[in-house]
Amino acid sequence: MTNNNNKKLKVKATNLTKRFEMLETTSNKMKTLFGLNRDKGQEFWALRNVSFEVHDGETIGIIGLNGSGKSTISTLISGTMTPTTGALEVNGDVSIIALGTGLIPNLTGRENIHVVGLMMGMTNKEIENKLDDIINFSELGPFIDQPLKTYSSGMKAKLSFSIAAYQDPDILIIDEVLSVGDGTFGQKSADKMFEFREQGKTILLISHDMLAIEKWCDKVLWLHYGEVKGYGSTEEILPQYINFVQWFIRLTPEEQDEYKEKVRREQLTYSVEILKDELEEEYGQKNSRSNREEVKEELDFSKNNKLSVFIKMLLVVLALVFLAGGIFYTSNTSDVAALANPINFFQQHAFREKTEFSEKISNEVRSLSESEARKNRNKEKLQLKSITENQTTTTKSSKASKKSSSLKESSQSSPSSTEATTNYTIQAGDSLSVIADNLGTTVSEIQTLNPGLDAAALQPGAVIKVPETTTTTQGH
Amino acid sequence: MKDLVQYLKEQIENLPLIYNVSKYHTKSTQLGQFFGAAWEYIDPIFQLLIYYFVFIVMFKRKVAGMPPAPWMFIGLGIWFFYSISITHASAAVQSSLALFSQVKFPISVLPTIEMFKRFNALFWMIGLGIIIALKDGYYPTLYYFQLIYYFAALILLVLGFSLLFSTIVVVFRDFSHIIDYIFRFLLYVSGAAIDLTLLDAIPGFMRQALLADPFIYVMEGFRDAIFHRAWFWEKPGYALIFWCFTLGLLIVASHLHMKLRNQFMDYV
Repeated sequence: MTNNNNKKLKVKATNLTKRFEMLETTSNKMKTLFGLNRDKGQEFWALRNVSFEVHDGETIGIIGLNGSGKSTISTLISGTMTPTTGALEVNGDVSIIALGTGLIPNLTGRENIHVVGLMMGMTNKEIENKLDDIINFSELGPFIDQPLKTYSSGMKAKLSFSIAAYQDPDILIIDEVLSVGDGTFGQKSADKMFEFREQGKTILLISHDMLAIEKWCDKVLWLHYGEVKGYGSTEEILPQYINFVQWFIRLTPEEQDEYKEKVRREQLTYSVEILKDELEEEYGQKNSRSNREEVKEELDFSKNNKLSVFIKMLLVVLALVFLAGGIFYTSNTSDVAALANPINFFQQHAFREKTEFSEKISNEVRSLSESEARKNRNKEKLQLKSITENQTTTTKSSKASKKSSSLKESSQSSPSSTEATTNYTIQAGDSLSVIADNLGTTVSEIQTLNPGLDAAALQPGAVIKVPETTTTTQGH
Repeated sequence: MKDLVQYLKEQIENLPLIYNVSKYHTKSTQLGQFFGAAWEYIDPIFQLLIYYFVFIVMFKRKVAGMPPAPWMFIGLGIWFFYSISITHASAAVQSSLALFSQVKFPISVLPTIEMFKRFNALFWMIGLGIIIALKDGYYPTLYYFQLIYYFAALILLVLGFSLLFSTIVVVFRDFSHIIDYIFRFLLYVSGAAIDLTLLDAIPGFMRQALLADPFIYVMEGFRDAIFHRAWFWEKPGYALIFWCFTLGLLIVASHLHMKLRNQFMDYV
């Protein structure tokens, strides 16, 4: 510890735990959304009371069996997940090299360098400057302009590593990437990593490749089913781990199963209470009251950011204005009148059409049907030219329609006309304009007599009202 | 409120990232097609022609006081922008979470990237609408300056819904189906393709209340500007409702997003 004091602290984890909930149900998830208490499901403690420190320029190997929480540690450090309890202090930019992160299979290698670089926080200019270096380093040559989906896994790994290697992070996490490339690329990656180390950067190497760990790492963190089994120099820890693996291999299959079962059960039954005891034991050795406070603070993982009262009130006000406005616009009163007498507003005016609105609608319907009638008249004129026999009847009917339309214009305020009407049964294939033509009236006339009649959907057999005067002129 | 400020700050700081990544995403979908980027412009035209044929030609729907073609193009342009960017954005966080499990990345920009992808189509469809409106004699006037106001309103509204829905979908995946159905239905009562004032199937008081719908407010605003109908300050009631709704939506959405963001990975 003391000889490290002159070096800057890069990562400091104290009493880190990470709890995953197994058998997560959708209803439980939804409860978190609304901030309700969730039912307690089966818990799985991926990390249990993990503490370690990493300093400037150190290369740390993280080793352990599968499922020991190595990748969980790396996601915690990169900040994509938050620890359940404990404190994690990370000073500097973190970048993780993992296979296929953010790569888009349809794009070429070159375009992927752009996209991934952007997502990792580089600017376009930086990428342009480094592009050639990255391509050179990746050894992809002509394949760089091929779509990524044609790449082999080794090529993808090389590309991933190259992009990440040129990002200039303070802390580099390498998760099982080096073993994918061949020996020559592995050597090159190693050289690049040494370059990072010389620049005083911190590297965390997660690997099952003991040779690589031995070669590159100053220190090793041995995770064993969520717990730290050992943390220290490579020469000290690595032989212990290898011994453990060999001891395990020598066990009979039954014993192996039994052992795995046992440690897994520990991970499942661990709880905050056990953690509390462990922490008290740990801090109790130093024996002071302030340490107790510290324990409490570290156990405080309900870091819920709640809405402040002011914001809650604001939200309520906004919702009220929105609702009131919505109801107001279903009413037929003015805003001043609604404010002056809200009870009257609800009793008499809500859910009614505004007179301006209905006038606007009927005006528009009228103007539309008038323009249609004009079109019909033009049609009739065309017919006039071609069919001379019907001359007398058509002129009569067009006169009648003109008369009726002028009548209607004069009585605009009261659309319900006093004219006598008869019923007309709609035949199949009829449209309003056909009926109007046949009976020598206008579409607008029919529409005013039949409010709510939808011109687009006439039902054959339905009975509508038509002006009486015109039916007599037609004669059948 | 501080969540909202942080959210907006993240969007602005990452604007180059959003722009560039959306460009590459679009490019990746076009790869291997002979006409490539041209489809982005051909698709909306055909969509518009189909809707024009179905509603105006086949069902003889009328549009009150405006030429139907540009009226419909502008409405549908904005409507498709709403529906496609919001439905895509709501799935964006959930589907890309695994990609970013290892990288520190401002997840809140994922829905925004989806919105940016739709900008081309939006501008293209509104541009077409404006060109056809010019042919009908609606020339650009001072009214056009309103487009800036309504564009800002459009973006904030879409951002709010995208963020809220994308957060909900991570936790409650079935929600994406519901969003889909809602938008499919809303198209027909939104006034995008069928003129609300002439839609007899809905009672009058409902139709006049629908005009206060935030989606419709923005869409009608674009039409107001292009067809010289009204200034936005001539509709203070609708504006008040719209901004109350949008502000509330953004506050709730950003709060939920920030609250659950750190736990997103647990939901994958």
